[in-house]
Amino acid sequence: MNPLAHLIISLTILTGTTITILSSHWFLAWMGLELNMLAIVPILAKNTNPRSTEASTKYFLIQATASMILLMAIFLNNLTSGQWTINPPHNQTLSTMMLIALVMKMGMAPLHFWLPEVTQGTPLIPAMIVLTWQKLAPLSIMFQIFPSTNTSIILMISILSIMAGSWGGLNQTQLRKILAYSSITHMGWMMAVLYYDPNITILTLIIYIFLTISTFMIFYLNSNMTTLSLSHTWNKLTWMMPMVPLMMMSLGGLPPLTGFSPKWAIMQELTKNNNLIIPLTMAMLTLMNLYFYMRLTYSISMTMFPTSNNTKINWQLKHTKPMPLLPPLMTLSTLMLPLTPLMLTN
Amino acid sequence: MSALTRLASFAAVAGRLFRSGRARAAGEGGVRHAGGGVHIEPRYRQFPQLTRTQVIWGETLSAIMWFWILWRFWHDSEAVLGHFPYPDPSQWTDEELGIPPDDED
Amino acid sequence: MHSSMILMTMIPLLTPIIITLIKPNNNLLYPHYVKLAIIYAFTVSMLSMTMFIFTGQESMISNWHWMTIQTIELSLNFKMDFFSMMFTPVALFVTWSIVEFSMWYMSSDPNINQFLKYLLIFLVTMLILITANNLFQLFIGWEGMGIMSFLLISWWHGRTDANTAALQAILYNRIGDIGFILAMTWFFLYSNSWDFQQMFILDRTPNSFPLMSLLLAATGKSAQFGLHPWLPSAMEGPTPVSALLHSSTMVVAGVFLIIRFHPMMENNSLIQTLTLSMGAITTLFTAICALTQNDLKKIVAFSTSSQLGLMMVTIGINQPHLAFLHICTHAFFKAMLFLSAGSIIHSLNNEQDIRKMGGLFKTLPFTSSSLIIGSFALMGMPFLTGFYSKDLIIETANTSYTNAWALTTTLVATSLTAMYSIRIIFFALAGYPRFTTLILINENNPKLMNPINRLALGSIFAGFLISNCVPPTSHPQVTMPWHLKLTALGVTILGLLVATELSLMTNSMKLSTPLKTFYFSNMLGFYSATTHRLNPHSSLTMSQNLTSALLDLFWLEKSMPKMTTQTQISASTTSSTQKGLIKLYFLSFFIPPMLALLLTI
Repeated sequence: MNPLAHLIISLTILTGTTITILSSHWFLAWMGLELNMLAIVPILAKNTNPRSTEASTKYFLIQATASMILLMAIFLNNLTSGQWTINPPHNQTLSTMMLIALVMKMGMAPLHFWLPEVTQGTPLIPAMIVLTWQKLAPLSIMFQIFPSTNTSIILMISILSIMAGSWGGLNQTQLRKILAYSSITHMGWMMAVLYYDPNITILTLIIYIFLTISTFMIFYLNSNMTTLSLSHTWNKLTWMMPMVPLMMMSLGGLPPLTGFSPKWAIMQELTKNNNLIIPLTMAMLTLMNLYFYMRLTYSISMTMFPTSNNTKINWQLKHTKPMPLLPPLMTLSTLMLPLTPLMLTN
Repeated sequence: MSALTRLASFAAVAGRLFRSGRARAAGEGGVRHAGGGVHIEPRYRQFPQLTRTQVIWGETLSAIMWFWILWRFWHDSEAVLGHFPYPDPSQWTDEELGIPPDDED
Repeated sequence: MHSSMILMTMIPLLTPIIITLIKPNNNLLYPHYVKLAIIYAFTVSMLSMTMFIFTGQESMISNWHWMTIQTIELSLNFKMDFFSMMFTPVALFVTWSIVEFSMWYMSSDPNINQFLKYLLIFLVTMLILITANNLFQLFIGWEGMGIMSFLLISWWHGRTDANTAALQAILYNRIGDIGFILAMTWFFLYSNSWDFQQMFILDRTPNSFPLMSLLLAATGKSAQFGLHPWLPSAMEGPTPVSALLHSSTMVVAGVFLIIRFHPMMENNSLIQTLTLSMGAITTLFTAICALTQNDLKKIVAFSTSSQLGLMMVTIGINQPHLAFLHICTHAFFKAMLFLSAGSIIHSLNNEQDIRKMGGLFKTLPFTSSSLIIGSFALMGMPFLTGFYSKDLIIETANTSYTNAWALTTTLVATSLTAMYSIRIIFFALAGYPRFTTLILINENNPKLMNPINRLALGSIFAGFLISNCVPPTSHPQVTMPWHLKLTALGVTILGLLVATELSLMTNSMKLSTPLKTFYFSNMLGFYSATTHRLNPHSSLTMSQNLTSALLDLFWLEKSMPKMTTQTQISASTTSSTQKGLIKLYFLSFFIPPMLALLLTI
C-alpha cells in the first residue's frame, strides 16, 4: 500500500473514533463511526488475497447495516424528541434499536458470527485493531445511552456473548479466532456491568485492551497463527515461555494477575445489586475460556511437541520486529492487580 | 621314693591342666574361629562332637531341677497335697455341728 | 526415692537409643552397650523393687506437669505400685537374656545394631506402659509397642511371609487400638481426666461401654480369640523377637491393661463374664491348635496364646494379682522356651519342623535340659516356676462359684498344655534323629548358654521367689477337698500320659486319613482361612465395585467430567460451527432485533 495512503487511512481510523467519542451530536457521532468503518476496510484488505477481501467485505456489510439501523434510530429519535443531542432516548423501542445496532457493531452475541471470520481473514495487526480500537467508538455511544435501555435485554446479550465466546473458543485451534471469541466473552462482561457501574466497564475495557494487545504482540513476534506454530516457542523465543502462561492466565482471569481485577469488580458489583445467579453463570462459563487459554499455555511452555531430531535450538539474527512496548505492556497486563483500588475509586 | 613317683603322676596331671589352660588361651587369643566360643567342625553321618561342658551343664541343670522339686516336696508337700485337712461334714456329730437333737422341744 | 530409682532405671536404657542419633556410625561394640544398659537398669530396678517390697509400700506416684489443654491436664506421671515395681526387673532380666542371645543368634546380620536398638525401644515402650499412670502415657507405650512389633516382625522384610505377618500384627492390633481410643474418648468426655485415680474415683461403676472398649483393646493386644491369628503368624520374625514379644512385652500388655483397670471392672459382672468366657475360649482353642502344629516355634506361640487365655480367665474370676503373678512367671519359662527353640533351629540349619528333628537329647544336651525344664514349668510341675501361679489359678477357679463351662474349658486346656509340651519333647528330643545328615550342631557359645542358663535357673526358682513377694492378702488362701487340690496336677498328668501313649501308639499304627477334627486343629480351626479370606474377599469385591463402578466410573467420571466434557463439546460445536455465508448471518441477524423490539414495544 502506498505509504501516504496508509498514513491517511490510519489517521482517519483515529479521527473517526475520536469524533464519535468526543461528539455530543448524534449525526457527528454517526459520521465518526462511518469514517472509521470506511477507513478500516482497506486496512483489512491490505493483503490482497481472497480471504482478506472476503473479510473486509463482510466487515463492511455488517458495519454498514449496523450504521443504517443506528442512523434510522437517530432520525426517529430526532422525529420524536426534536433534538440531536446525544441523550438516552426516551423511547424504549428507539434505544433498543440503537442497542441492537451497537451490539452488531461490537460483535456481540447473538450478532457475533462475523467477528471470528473477519479476524481470521486478516493479518495479525489489523485483527488486533478490529478487536481493540474498533470497540471504543460503539462502546462510547453505549456508555451514553445505557440508562434508557432495557436491562434484561442487555444482561441477556451479555450472557449470550459469554456463552458464545466460551464455547466458540473451545472449538478452535486458530489463534486469531480464539482471540476473537475471547473478545466476545470480554464484551459480554463489559456489557453486563454497564447498567450497574459504567466505570467498571471502562476499567474492563482498558485492561482487556492491554491484555489483547500484548497477546497479539507475542503472537506477532513469530507470526503465530495456529496452536501448532506456538509449540515452537521453546525453540524461537525461549525467554517468552514463562511469560506466556502468566499472560494467558491473566486473560483467563486468575486471581493474582491483572485479568482478575475487572472480573472481581464486576462480580462484586453484580452481587451488590442482588444478582447472584448471573455472576455465577458468567464465572462458570468463563472457566471454559480459562481452559482454552491453558491449552495454549500447554502447547507453548508445558510440553515439547514431537519434532524431528535435528531441531536444535535456533541461532538467531537480531529480531527484525523490535517491540519496545511489549515489556511494559506485559507488566501491566500481569501485575496490575494491586492497583485495582486506585482504578476503581474514580 | 615311691612317694616321689606318686608325686610325678600328680605333676603330670598338673601339667595337663596347664596345657589345657594354655591351649584355651591360644584358642581365644590367637586363632580365630567363626562364631566365637568353642569351634566344632561340621560332621557328615557321624555323631556330633560334644564338649564336656555342655554335657555336664545339661545334666547339672536337670539335677538342679529335680533336686529343687524333691527338696521342696519334702519340705512343702502341702502345696501339692493340700494345706489343711478338709472337714468332712458327714463324720461330724450333730453336737459338734450345733444341730439340736430331734426330740428337743 | 523410688522415682529417682525409676529415673535411674529408665535413663540408661535411653542412652543407647540416643547414642545412635548423635553418632549413627556402625559401632561394633553397640550390642554390648545395649546389654550393659539393660544389666545396669536391671540391677537398679532390682534394688528398688527389693526396698519397695520389704518396706511394705503400697504405691507411689510421681507427677510432672506436662501440658494443659483446655480443661484437661496432661501430666507425666509414673505409678510405682506392686505391679510396675515387680514387673520392671522381671522384664529387664528377661530382656537382658534375650539381648545377649540375639548377639549370638543375629551375629551374622549386618544391621544387628539396629535390631538391638529396636529390641531396646520395644522394651522401653513396655516399661512406659507398665509405669504409666494416665491413659495418654499408657497409649504412648501401647502404640509404641505396636509399631516396634511391626518393625521387628518384618525384620527380614525380604520375605513375603514376614511382611504379611507384620501387616497382620499391626492390623489386628489396630482393631484393638480402636477399642483403646474409644475408651480414651469416653473417659475424656465423662471423667475429664486420664489419670487412673481420678477415673477410678469418678466412675466406680461406669457403664459397660468403656470397659468393653478396653476389653477389645486387650483382645487385640493379647491375641485373645477373635483377634488371635497374628500371634502365631508373628513367628516369622527372628526368634529373639518372638521371645521378647511373647514373654515380657506386647502380648502381656493387653492383660496388663485389664489388670490396671480392674478397680473399674470388678463391679461389672457383664465384663467379668465376658473376660472369663473369652479367656476360656482362647485358652482351649489355641491349645487345640497347638496340638497338631509341626512348627516348633508355632507350638510355643500357641502355648503363649493359651497362657494368655488363662490370664484372662484369672481376671475373669476377679484375681488380678494372680494374673499378674502368672505374667511374671510365664515370662521366664516362655522366654527360655523360645531361646531353646532358637538354639535348636539354629543348630539344625534353620529347620523348624519338629518332624525333622528327633534325638536332640543326645546331641544338644544343654538345650534339651533347658527345654525340658521350660516345658515342665509351663505344664505346672510342682515347685517349678509355672506351678506357683498356674496351680493357684486353677485352684482358685475350682473353688470359685464361677460358671462351670468356663472352668471345664480351662481344665481341658490345662491338660492339653501337657499334651503339646510332651509332644515337643517327644518329637524334638527323643527318638532317632530325622534331620539331615550334615550336622552343624553347636551350642557351645557363652552368648547362647549364659542367657538360657539364667532363664533356666529363673524357671526353676523365680516362681518361688516372686510368689513369696506377693502380699498374702491380695489373693485368697483357699481351702478345698483333697481331690480338688489335686485336680490341676491330675489333669496335667492325665494329659501327659495320654500324649505319651498316643505318641507311642502312632508309631505302630498304620496311617489313616486324618479326621475332620484333626483338620480343625491343624488348620487352626479354619479361623484364619475363613476370616482372612471370606470377609476381606466380600468386602474387597464390594469395595472394588463401589470404587471402580460407582465411584470411579460413574460418580467421578461419567456423572461429572465426562458429562461436562460431552455437554461442552456438543455446545461448542453447535454454537460455533459456521458456514461463513454472510447471507445466513443477515438472516439470523433479522430474528434477534425483531425479538428485542417485540420485547420492548
